[in-house]
Amino acid sequence: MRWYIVRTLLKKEALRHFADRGGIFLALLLVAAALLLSVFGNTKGETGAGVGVDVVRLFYVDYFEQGEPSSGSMKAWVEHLRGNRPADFRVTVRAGDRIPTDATGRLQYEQSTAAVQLRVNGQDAQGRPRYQIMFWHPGEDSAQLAPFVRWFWKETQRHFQNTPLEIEATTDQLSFGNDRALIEVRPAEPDGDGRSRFVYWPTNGDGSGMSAYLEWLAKQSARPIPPPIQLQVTQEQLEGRVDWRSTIATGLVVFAVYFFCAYLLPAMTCEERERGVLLAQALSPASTGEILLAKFLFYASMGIGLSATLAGIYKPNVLLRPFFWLSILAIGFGYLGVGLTIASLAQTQRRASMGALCYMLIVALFMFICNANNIPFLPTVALEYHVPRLLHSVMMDNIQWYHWGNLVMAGLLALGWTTLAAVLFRRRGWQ
Amino acid sequence: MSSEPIIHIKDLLVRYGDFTAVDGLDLELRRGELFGLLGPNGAGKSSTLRVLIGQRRPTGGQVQVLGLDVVRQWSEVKTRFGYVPDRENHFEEFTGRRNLDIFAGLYNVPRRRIDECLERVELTDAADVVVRGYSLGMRRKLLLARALLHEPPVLYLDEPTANLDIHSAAVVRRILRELVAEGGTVLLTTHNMQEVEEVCDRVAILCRGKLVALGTPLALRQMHAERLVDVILSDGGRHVFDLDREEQRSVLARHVADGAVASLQTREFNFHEAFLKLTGTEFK
Repeated sequence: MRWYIVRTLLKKEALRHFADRGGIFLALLLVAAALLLSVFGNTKGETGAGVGVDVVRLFYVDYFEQGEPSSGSMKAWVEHLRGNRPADFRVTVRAGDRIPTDATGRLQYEQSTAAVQLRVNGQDAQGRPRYQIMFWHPGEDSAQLAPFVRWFWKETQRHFQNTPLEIEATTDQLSFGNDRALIEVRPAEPDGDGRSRFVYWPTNGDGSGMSAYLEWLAKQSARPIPPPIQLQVTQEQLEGRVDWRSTIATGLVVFAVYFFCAYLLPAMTCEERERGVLLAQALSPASTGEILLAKFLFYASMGIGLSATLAGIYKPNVLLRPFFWLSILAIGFGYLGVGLTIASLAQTQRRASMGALCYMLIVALFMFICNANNIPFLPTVALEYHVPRLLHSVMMDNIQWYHWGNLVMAGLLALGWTTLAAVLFRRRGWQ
Repeated sequence: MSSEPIIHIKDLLVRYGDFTAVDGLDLELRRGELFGLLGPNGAGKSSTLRVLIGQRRPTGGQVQVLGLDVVRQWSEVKTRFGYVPDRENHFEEFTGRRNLDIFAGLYNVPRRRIDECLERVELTDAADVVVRGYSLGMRRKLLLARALLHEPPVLYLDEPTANLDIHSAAVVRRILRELVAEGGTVLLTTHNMQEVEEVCDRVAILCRGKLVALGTPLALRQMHAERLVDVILSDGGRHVFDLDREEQRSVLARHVADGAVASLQTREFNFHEAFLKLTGTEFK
């Protein structure tokens, strides 16, 4: 590797951008946007309320086994829910210790998700666990929970089919079919929290709820039937909203890397090829490795430098986090690989530009299809699955253990793209 | 002229799938020689040139430049030649000087060479003009300046004077002759017959990938000149006499002796005709 050649090639790239200042102008626009973002709307709580609508696309069933005695049935209940997930919307069942938390230990839910949390809240007279069921919905409209609540109660009833349930809740937190026996045994007190006590009596669908319940009461002392399982139900609104500022800042940072590495690199390289100057460089003493190194160094430095500038303007302390730099390096080299692959496949500048845009669109469609069809794991092969997670976690000061997994995966994908790009460029890069 | 071989092409074979572009070409270019490569479209000139500039691996045969194999020792070969392509390939947004500056940096040559080369191709006045504003002739001269930056012992030119005005073409030819006089070896492909006759020391004519003629332009002229004389007699009769035939020479001599010749004109050597005879095809 001869430094005078690499230096000349780096100078050439810089001079080209100074001669045609479109890239510099866009970089300055991004900096201006980051400055505006850091100056305006930075008051806590003013996070763009009303900008978007929270549409629930994923429901969580989060269970906490702490306090569950060995005789408890939460595990079986959870397994029943896991094994009977609905086909028409996404439900993920997970243990409570898998829920991300912020620095203060507060549970974090992603945007557009809702949840039901199952906890043990003491014991009943028989020493069995008393369960607390908490429904959490984003935004103010709890109606979005309806299909989820319906499914949850249906499957919960199926699971506890031979055991009565005693439920403390408000009526709108319950969802039982008309043919089920749901008997209010203690009306809500006028000055209380509006919760009543119900008993659900499994009737096997014959609709004779009240009479069955009365019959059960009459026979209660005579027949050895299991006493009801006690459930306390609440419904809460998830605190906080989407932090639009950090989302936009993350978007700016990603765009800066993408713009330089996956858009400008192939566009400028293909322009050189189209004009024949790439061949002229190849015929000079510069080797393929030196030409590639110069391109990688220049566009990586510009993309990463601009991204760091934008991130630093928005939140200066992210620049002190090694995770940020590791993430931005992985993303930068991943997009360089993407960019050079496009540059090697596209023959002309126009095709390269179109290729870069098509890449974005194809990835967006791929992610959408995977998301809409609940296809697990497959989206993780896209760099774009990991990129927002990595940067958003840094921008939100909320790096979880699994973000390191995202980082490793992004690094591997970057390596894959870069290798593919280098092979393709050696084979067909000049002409 | 020294007889030291600089470019040695032996049994060169270049195939694109089933199509054979160059078929067993043998050539030797010597130091201080300006060599012309001629041929119609598809003759194999460009394929030969592409092998020489390392952009195409030969299917068979061997090509050596200055004793170095163009395939195995490519990185050493590439610093020893200059190349002027048929299509200009400059950084349009830079000035002529900056274009040369970049390549001077890649070749690691002193910056004074930039001024020397610009002066040599008569572009000093336009050195600081953006290439986008150059005429076609200026662009081609800048290509030549770039190819000369590192003072290569071998220079390849693809149609160096195509679309140039008379003055620019003369400048290019003068520079080529100077290079050869300085001991350089120049290989050019051209369609310009006059150029071949004027500047080339030797010419190779290719047709369908094969070498059909090789020699100096004069030798080719002598070999393929049509020794015919068009005669108009005093009585108005028109005749063509072939000087290679004894009986026709005698008849012509008798007409001249009798003073019966009103007009007499020899047919000049016609490279196009010669080319047509050699290759069986029109030169395009």
